[in-house]
This record gives sequence, C-alpha cells and structure tokens, in this order.
Amino acid sequence: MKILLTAALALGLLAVPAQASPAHDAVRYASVKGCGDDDAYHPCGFWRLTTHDGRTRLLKDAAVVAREADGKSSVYQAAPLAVSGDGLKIAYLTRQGRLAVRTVGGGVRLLPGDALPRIAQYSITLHLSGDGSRLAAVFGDEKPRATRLFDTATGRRLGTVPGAETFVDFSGDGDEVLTSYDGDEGTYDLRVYTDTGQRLADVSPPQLVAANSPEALAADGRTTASLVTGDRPELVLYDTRTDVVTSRVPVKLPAGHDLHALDWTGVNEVTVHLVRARDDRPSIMSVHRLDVLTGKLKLRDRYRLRTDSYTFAACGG
Amino acid sequence: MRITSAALAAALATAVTAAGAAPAAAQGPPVARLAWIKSCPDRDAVEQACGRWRLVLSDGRTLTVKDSATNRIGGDGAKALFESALTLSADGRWLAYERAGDHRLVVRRVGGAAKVLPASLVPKRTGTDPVELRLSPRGERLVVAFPDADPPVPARIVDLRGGGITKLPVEDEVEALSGDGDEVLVRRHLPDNTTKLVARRLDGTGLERTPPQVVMGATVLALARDGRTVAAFVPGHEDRRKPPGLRLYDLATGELSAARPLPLKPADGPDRARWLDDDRLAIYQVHASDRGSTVIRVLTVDAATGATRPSWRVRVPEDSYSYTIAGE
Repeated sequence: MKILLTAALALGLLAVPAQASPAHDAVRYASVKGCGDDDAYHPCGFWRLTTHDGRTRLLKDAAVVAREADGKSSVYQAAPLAVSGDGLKIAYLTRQGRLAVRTVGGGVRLLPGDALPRIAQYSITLHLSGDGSRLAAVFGDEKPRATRLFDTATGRRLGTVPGAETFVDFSGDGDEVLTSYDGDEGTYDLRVYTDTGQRLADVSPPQLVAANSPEALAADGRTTASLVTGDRPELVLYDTRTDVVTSRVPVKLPAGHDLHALDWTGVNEVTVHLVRARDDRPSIMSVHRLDVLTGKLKLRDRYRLRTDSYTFAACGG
Repeated sequence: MRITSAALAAALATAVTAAGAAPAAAQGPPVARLAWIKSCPDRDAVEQACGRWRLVLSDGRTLTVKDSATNRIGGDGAKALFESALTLSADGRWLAYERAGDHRLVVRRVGGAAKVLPASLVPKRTGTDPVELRLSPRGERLVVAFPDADPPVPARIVDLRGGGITKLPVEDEVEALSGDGDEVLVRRHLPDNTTKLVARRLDGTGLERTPPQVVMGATVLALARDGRTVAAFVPGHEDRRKPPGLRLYDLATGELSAARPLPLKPADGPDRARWLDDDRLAIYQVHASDRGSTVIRVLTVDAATGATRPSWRVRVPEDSYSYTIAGE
C-alpha cells in the first residue's frame, strides 16, 4: 500500500455519508503537526491516528523527528510511517530507532535490530501491503541500497528487490512487488518480483501505461491498473507478462481532482484516492471504489486536509 | 484542404526554367552548408540580429541573401525580437526565407532568382513571429509551421513544383518532411496522454500509429522516402556508458527493429537526422567548444548496421546571432 507523504498537509473531518466502510477502529490516516515559522518549520508532538469512527489516538512510542545517521536529531525532517490499506496495521520507527509494526487493537512487533541500515531516518520510506502482512523499507540514500521486504507477522526478512529500481506497489494480496526502472533507452520499465525477491516480469510497457502513472498491481501479480485523468478519464488494465493492454473502460471522475493513490482492494475493484485543491481553503481527499469491469465509481470516504500539519500518511485501500 | 494556386505554379515553373538555363559553374551549382546572421550589440549592449543572412558554401565562399529581413514581425507589423525565418534544403541548393520590407516568404535556388510565395501562407494576425520553415531534402516542398502560435495556426505544405498548398489539421505538430518530400511526419497528442505519429500525405490523408515508448523517447526522428519507415535516434546513457542507438519503426505494421548501437560517445547522439536514400541517413552533431566556437559535423549512418562515416563539417562564425544547417 502506498504511504502518502505530503509536507504541510493536515487532516480534518467532514461529515461522511454512511457507506460500507472498514472496521470502526481502523486507521483512516496518520498525521503529524507542524510547528514553528516558515524557515524553521518542523514536525512536533506525536503521530496522531485518526480512525474511521472519527476518534484520534496518539502513537506515543513512534519517532516523530527523524535522526541523522549518527543519531543526532535532524530537527526539521519527519520520521517515516505507513498505514496498511485496511487501516489495521501501522509501520514506524520507535523512539529508540527500531522498526516496529503495530496492530490496531493488538500488540506491537519489533523487528530485529539489524532490520534497517544505519542511515538517516528521513532517507527511509515505509510501505505496507493492503492487508498489512508485508512491509517494504525503501532507502533513498546516495548509493542505491536494496529495498527490504518483511513479513509483519513474524518480523522475518523475506527478500530484497534492487535499490536502483523505484518501489511502486505491493500486489493486491501483498505477496508480489511492482517496481519501475529507467531503461537504457530512456523508457519507463516495470518489473514484478515475488516477496522473496524473485523476478517474475520485466517489461517496457506501452505509452498508454507509461504516461499514466502510478500503476497498481493486482493480486494475480501480473495485471496493473492505471487511471487516465484529464478530459476523457479511463481505467486501463495491462498484463505485465504478455505486454498487452487487456482493458480500457471509461470512468466518470469528478472534475477538478488530482489522482493521489490507486490500489487494488478486490478481485475487480480498485480504490482511488482523489484530492481536490481549493484556493485558500482546505483541500479535500475523497476515496472511491472503482469497479474495473464497469468503470463505475462509488464514494467510500471523504475528509478535509488542513494546512497546519507537517505530513500525513493515509491508508491506501 | 487543398488550395491550388495557379499563380504560384506559374511563378515556380519560371524559376526552374531560369535556373536550368543559367550557366553552370565548373564545379556544378553552388551548395550551401550553413546560413547565419550576424550579432551586434544594441544601445543597451544587448546582442541583436543585424544585417542580412549569409550562406557558407561548400567551396568556402560566402553569399549574402541581400533581400532577407533581419527580424521577424508580429501581427501588428512591428519588429519582433528574433532573427527572420530562413531554411536551407538538405542538398544545399534551395533556400526559403522571409524577405525585407513586406516580410513575404520567398524561395530561391542558391545563387538563383527569388520567387515570392502567396501572402496567404502567413496569417496577418500572427505575422512571421511564430513561423518555422522546413524544406524537403531536394527543395520540392516547403512546410510553413507555427509551433507556438496561440491560438494555434495549422501548418501549410507548399508544393514548390506543382504549386498546390495543403493545410494540415491544426492538431498536427510538424516533425519533418520525408526523404522525398511527399509526406510530413507529425505528432498528435491524444487525451490519454499518449502521442501518435502520422505520416501525413499532401492530400491530407495519413498513415498513423501510436508507437512504443522508445520511439517517442527518441531525440531525433526522420521519415524515409517510403513514407512509412521512421528512424528513431535514441540518446545514449552516460552513467551506464551506453552509446546512442538507432531503431527503425514501421508506421504501416508497427514493427520495431532491435537497437543498433552507434559508434559514438554516450553524449554524442545526433541533433538532427535525415534520410539520404533508402539505406543511409545523415546525422548532424553540434559541437560547442568552451571558447565559444561551434562546429557542425555531419556523418552518414548505414541504417542496417549503424556504421558511420564522416561526411562534411562546417564551422559556425563566432559573431553569429543565429544559424541554420542545410537540411536542419
């Protein structure tokens, strides 16, 4: 699942129409407050978890300000955090710097002390799969470092994918990984791996896919979904094994929205996060279920983004 | 779409006859390699185009295009910022440009007489400011395009032998004329964020296809005489030490050849290319030295193997404001 990090965004609630929704105590999004003036703006307080029943809890054991590789505070940078698509698992760094996965209404699992390399914490990005069973730790260090994949139930490292590639998505069921790669001839290539790091596909997709990022990988570990935004929106399905566009379905997208995230949440369903920016007023995030066969869009959730928070991480699914 | 201009046909017929009757020089007719216009500081010490366009010939001589304009004009008729429009055919025998005074477009053989093209080629409301000119390799066709005009203006193809004028669909972005000038390679941007290539014929019809990423990512495209084969020059990759490459793409079938690596440094991919015949291309490399001098190197490339061979080179005068290479 995608971690959605956007500086200077905060989240507030709008009245949400009653819909079939995730569990009441599932996390809708996590956010950190920003403090200080423009030139000294920094994350402060605790990570706040806002749940689907509208309550907010504090994640007091999570690191908020990222540390440098030597352990000193970076002061201005936030430590990484990810929420699973179902909103039931949160991955983060503890205040002691350990990689941890917490289950909503359950316990916390600390991953081994050597789970992460000794690099600045702000160079680490975390991604949880839709069901939270898999965790990817991506390192944005100067030299490429392999992305590490973990089983969150056992804390065991399952495998790695090459650090020169960009992590795009876990598959809908979490046991494959989609990456993108800059090909030698300037193309945008896609690669699929098992969660143990075995490569399943390596393809240079058609313009239609490459020009409409991001892609979401289905549970079959081969089909990607892309959403064409703009004048004539459509959902595009593409098979990474056969290099064939298998479906193009028109979609009615609300006007004036930007695509924020795309994730598979069912056999024939992707979930779409859209953001509507408004002048001088808080942006609005809306979450829609999209039937990939019919192109029908159904609103699942809607909330307001405030401008007074340093960063946030929404559940993807 | 086609407008026939009888007057133009008659004028061009005269031009060809006159040139044919002209006494040929010992080495054959003059061949231009480069056209350039001088740079002079104005009262505020800002460099501006000045004087007339000049042609550097293959034998080293220089000819001045005495009736060429210095600057373009806007829709209001006032002098625009940049140097006037001018282009040379790849064979170096023809030039098309904007003349001084009324800013009408003219075409002439190098060293021959000028023929004025219809004033309707350039809309009054834009002036020559957004005009981009391209001649086919042997000067049979002229494209008059308006790449940045707002609102958009459709490009025109002038048949310099027959005299007809074809207006292209306004969405067509002109890339280049084919090797024989019978088609224009154009790009069309689609609502799904992809780009289509069309080999547009003079009758307005076209052969079109949405090519793979590698073709659209190529820095230079050239359409062959057959009107369907596109040469796509793919830039090299400096970090991975991969040389530039050539791929051939067939607009009729969608077939894409394997990459042919070129014996060039990763950063030395071509800046321009055109087909010479059915098997060979000419590629142009612009080498700018630290001291400010610029040399244009032209190589021939075997389309089947990617093997290259030096063809000719020309130095750009250091006091030039702007230049254009034959076949650019």
